Amino acid sequence: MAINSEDGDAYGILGDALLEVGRYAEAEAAYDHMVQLERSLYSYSRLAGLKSTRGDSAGAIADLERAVALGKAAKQPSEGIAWAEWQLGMEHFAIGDLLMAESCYRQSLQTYPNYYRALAGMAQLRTAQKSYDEAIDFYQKAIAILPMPDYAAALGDIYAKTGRDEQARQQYALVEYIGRLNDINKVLYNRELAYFYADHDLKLNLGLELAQRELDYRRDIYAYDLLAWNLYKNGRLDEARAAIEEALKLGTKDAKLFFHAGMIYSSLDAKAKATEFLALALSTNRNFHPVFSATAAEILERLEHSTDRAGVERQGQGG
Amino acid sequence: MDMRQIAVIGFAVLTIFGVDRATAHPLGNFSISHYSAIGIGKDAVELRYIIDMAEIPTFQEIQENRITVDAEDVNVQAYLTRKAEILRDGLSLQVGGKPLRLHLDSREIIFPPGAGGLPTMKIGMLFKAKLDKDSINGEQALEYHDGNFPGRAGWKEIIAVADAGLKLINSSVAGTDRSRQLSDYPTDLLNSPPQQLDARINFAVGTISPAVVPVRSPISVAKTTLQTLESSNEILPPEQTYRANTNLGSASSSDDSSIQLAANRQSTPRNSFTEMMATKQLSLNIILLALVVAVGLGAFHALEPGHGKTLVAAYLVGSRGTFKHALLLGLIVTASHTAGVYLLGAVTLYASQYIVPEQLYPWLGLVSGVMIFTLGVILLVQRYLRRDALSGHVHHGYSHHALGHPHHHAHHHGHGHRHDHHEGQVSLRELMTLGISGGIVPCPAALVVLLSAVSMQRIGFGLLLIVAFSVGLAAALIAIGVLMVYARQFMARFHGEGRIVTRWLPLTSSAFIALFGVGLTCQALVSGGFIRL
Repeated sequence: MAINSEDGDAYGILGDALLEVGRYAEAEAAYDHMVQLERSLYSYSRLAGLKSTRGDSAGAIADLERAVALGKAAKQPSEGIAWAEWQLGMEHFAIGDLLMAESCYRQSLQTYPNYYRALAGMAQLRTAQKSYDEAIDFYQKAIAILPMPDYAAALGDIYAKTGRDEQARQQYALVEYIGRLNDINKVLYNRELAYFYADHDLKLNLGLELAQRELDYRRDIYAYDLLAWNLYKNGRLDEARAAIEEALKLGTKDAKLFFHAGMIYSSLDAKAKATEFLALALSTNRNFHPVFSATAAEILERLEHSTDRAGVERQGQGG
Repeated sequence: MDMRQIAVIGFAVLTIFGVDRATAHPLGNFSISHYSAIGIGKDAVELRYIIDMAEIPTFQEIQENRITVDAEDVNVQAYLTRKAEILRDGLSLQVGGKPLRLHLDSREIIFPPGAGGLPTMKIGMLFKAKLDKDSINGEQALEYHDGNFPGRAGWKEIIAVADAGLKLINSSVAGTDRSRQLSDYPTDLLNSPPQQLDARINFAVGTISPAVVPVRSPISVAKTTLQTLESSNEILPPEQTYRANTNLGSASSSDDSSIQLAANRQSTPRNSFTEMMATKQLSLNIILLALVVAVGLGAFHALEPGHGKTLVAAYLVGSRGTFKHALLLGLIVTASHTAGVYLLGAVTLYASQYIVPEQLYPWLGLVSGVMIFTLGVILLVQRYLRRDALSGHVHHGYSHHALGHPHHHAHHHGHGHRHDHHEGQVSLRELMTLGISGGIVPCPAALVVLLSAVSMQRIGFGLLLIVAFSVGLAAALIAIGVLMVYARQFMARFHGEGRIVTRWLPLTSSAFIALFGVGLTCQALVSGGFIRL
């Protein structure tokens, strides 16, 4: 920036770094500056990411559509355009619009064939639609290109759900192996592995340790969500509540965050809040997760039932 | 002693001899790299096809195929046969528009250790395809496509060569090997590795042409033709690599018709010293061995640039230092080096939220650079003035106990003993300044060991290893120093303490020390971002 204050990319990268460490206001300023300097695929994609984090899904979708159009007009590299199209699919998926999500992922795959992110997006979508065989196929294709630990974990979950325990075990082992390699390579953060441990009730102490270490380097809302989820799994509920409140502070519309909040409040016996967040998770995206969607529905039903019963009892006492 | 201990000792022995194989895959833990060498002959096309899987794809293959990391294992052999067929199905070779059938001639599998000793896997296959006699009349087009692992990151290289008597008219791929059959990836290309999966080659029977026709500007590092590679003895597998080579067909058992795979040569910042920390079980034998290895590594480390050996040498040559001074200087450098590592380690641990060690290096470098420069200038000025004051008789500076050369120390010019000693003695302050400045910049390797030790809750072991490392470093520095003292004395005797030794050597060496200081300072300024070039 000192050399060339007109360089939009520099502001973009600054904003990315600020976003990663959770300095959202400064990130927004950097992105705004970037957009003023250049209206492009790259500037609008970034702005969209920030809007999404702030819970402004409509704004994020509009910006991503603008980003894709600008990218195509400027004949930007196809992988960059495919990225924005995939991200657009993710935004639609996050609010439960599976049809639009699929259309975006397909567009992304057309722009950049075999784009692994779009393949994984399709896999997640098919999982939500309970088309497990297709989901497995998409995940396998994505993993063949880039074995990301979260893809392997999700594939393992589908195998587990469909009773293919040995294949599930293999995918889970791969997740841990990648985590071990990250450790050997001194990769600073290991977010996926910490989520994996908490989601699967495995090595909960280690998961918590990884989550706490994560916060040393990044203080974005997902670092707090990760910490909250791991604290909850370790039975440290009060701390978990503080962390999840921090994660929710920007108003991000993410069923996963709402689900974690609902589970934490439920364990704290804060029934009203638990009901609110579990309902929010399911209304945001009824099929946000192959296992946890059902968990959320089940606990919500139990909570509502107990509330109804309490109400009936109260009415009975009153009458 | 169990297999693991044997493996650790084998590894340690390798590290002593400076062989550092167990490093992360240079193209990333996810990568799968491809190499195809197409050799066009009069009767047949030979395809040498190698796949190099990094740690993660290797793990996936091991899991999915339930194999062990043992090339001799029957299951691995069965897997190799299956895999060779699958990979062959992903390849297509056509000459004159007609697909050629690739016959598997020989195959090999090795499991070189990668990051943290985790296995990687290389599979090599030699395919042969017969050429139809009619098809090699006149100009022919050969088309090749590698359709294996589409979209997967990795190095993808194709080369094409022709036998003598055949002429390559043009080729879309180079004729030179850049990665030495995926065993030596050129580091300057690692960020944008070649992505060749297709080749189109036109060839003809005709005038005898050179066997290699490089077409597309070959960024070749090693100009190695297929032929020379085949007979090369340089590419040998490391001892700890398990291999199995299966020659199919009785006529093809000669060396140049089989596949010889080699582990990667690249080393990464994670060196063998660091890897030692990862040893899981620590028995007494392992600890002793690790200490011996650390001493050895420390000694080797002293010979790498930037660890004060140049300073020690320059100083001792110029200053009339003695054996004692060499010893002292070596010890001071080592002590300050060790202290530097501990200090930086402590600072890093307590302030890890605010300071990245990388940010501290330039500051330490700057401090020691300025100190060394100042000392160099002081020495230069002192010695220059001394030359004027003592012109013609500066040579009586040796200590009287200096290793059996008493005949050089006669005080026949009337200078008093007091002056003589003042002149000849190496000042302790100078030694301290130089030693501390030379040693204060700790090497990242030692720091990483310390921090790894801390993170693995083996602080004691880490500290011990660093002490051993320092002992080795000291021994090497002292040896260099003593060698310098002897060399200078030998030179002095040879020249009869002429002008070179008495005047120019001290001046040059102090100028050298000053320059070294300037260099170190500049380096620190640039790497610390204090100045921009």
